[in-house]
Amino acid sequence: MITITEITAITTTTVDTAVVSGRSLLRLMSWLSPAFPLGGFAYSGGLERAVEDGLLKDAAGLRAWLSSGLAQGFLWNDALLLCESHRCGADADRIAEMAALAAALAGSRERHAETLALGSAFVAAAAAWPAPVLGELPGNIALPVAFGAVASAHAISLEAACQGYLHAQIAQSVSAAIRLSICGQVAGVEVLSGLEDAILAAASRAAQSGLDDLGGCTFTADVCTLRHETQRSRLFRS
Amino acid sequence: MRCEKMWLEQNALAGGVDVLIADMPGRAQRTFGKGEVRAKFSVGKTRLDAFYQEGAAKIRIPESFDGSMEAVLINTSGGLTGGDRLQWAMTAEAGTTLTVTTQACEKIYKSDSGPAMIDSELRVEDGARLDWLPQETIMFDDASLHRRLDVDLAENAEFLAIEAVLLGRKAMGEAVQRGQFRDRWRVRRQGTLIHAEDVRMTGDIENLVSQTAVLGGDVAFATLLYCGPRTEALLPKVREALGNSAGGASEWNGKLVARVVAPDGYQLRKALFPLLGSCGTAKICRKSGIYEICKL
Repeated sequence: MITITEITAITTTTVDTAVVSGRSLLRLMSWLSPAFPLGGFAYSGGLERAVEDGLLKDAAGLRAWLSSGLAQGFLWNDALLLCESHRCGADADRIAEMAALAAALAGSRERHAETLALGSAFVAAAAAWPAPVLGELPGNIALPVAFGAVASAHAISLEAACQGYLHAQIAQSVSAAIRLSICGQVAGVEVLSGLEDAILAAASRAAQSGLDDLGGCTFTADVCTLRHETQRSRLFRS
Repeated sequence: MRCEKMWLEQNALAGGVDVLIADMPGRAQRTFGKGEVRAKFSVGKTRLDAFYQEGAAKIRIPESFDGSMEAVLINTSGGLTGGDRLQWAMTAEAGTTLTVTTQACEKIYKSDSGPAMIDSELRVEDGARLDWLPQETIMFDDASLHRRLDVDLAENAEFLAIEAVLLGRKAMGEAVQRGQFRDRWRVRRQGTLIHAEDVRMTGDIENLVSQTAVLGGDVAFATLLYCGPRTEALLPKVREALGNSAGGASEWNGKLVARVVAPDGYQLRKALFPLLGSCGTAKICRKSGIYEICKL
């Protein structure tokens, strides 16, 4: 008896609308590299307090935490602010409005300090790629707003900028988690790879949304950023 | 849909389809309410300057003996559902002290036709203080609420706000599985945006609630905001009042923010009572009975 087994390989291919190459690719890689002088390594975005309070214990917990942040938390708002700032183009007034909104949305003293410090550092470092917009950005500018505006000035596509930004934020959090001994390098990298779909989904949704879609519900994570201020021993500034 | 079908079948049996058709889901009359209070400072105390109420919105001003004024907002429809709309406008003119609260928890019921909307506009002039202390909002399963709070502060105005939300009532075995809740606050001082809050919870609430970063299985949460000259002095008191509850507080740029998460409405009230007390409002709250521990 002969049995013929047909194996059909089903490959799911995500249509990547944000193909980046050439100078755009190099610039995104430079700006989002941990070596780019922003000082992001000094902040944990409340992760440190979540660990202290026993809310985060392992790589699985970290992945779930970050996934909530992407879909309906701090990272979702950042993604929207980035996209909206990108759409402002060279309109300095609208960029200033976005900067004011981003600063007003920061939920705690440390989050506010974090996003503004990183934003200013980004604008200063991005001066190595001259663009007229750099001279028109407000002095107090949150990181996602600065990033969106500068990426737009260099004609880097909105979706690519957003995907790259979210990935860099997640990578930063994973690095913080490793330093907090939540997981090792290998498990950390698995979190990064496991969150690819969530990053792409958030970026794609943000690219199609407007300011009306701002908002999240990561209440516990927000409480952690507040509680971090009173944490006795700590490695991070947020 | 299932409800509607059953209803039709029952009515077909009773032969009364035409008579009762007005009561069918989706045909219900929508609630509308609009209320306004304007307080002025005159002869040493806060007095009523303008008062307006329309539809389901009613306002009561209990007699006050300490120079301040309290306005109690009442929604006579007893709860909101899809398409219902409430609008409140409160103004504390220069030098006044106005506390605004609600007579009861605002209940948001299952919505068949879009969100219920509550829009509140508050204006606080120089040297005035406005405390916005509505009782908790209770969201039931499949409820949908869009809420907006727009606040305009003068240079030397003081403002305190709290919004507390319960997703269902645990003690009554009422869990929320799906729904939509959106809450947008925009607070401006002299026209400049100084604080923004955007809560957005949509779809599978049961799943959201279970996520550690969201509520970790808890169903009650509250946000307190104070804007004024005393943020630094208040912060240690607020932190002490929070004690061991799952909450945190911070102050920066002339504002103080505190957030609390609790397993249920009872635990939330237990946390909020000292919290409000630390901001100097407990006396007023006790007087109007808002934050007396009641069965939720």
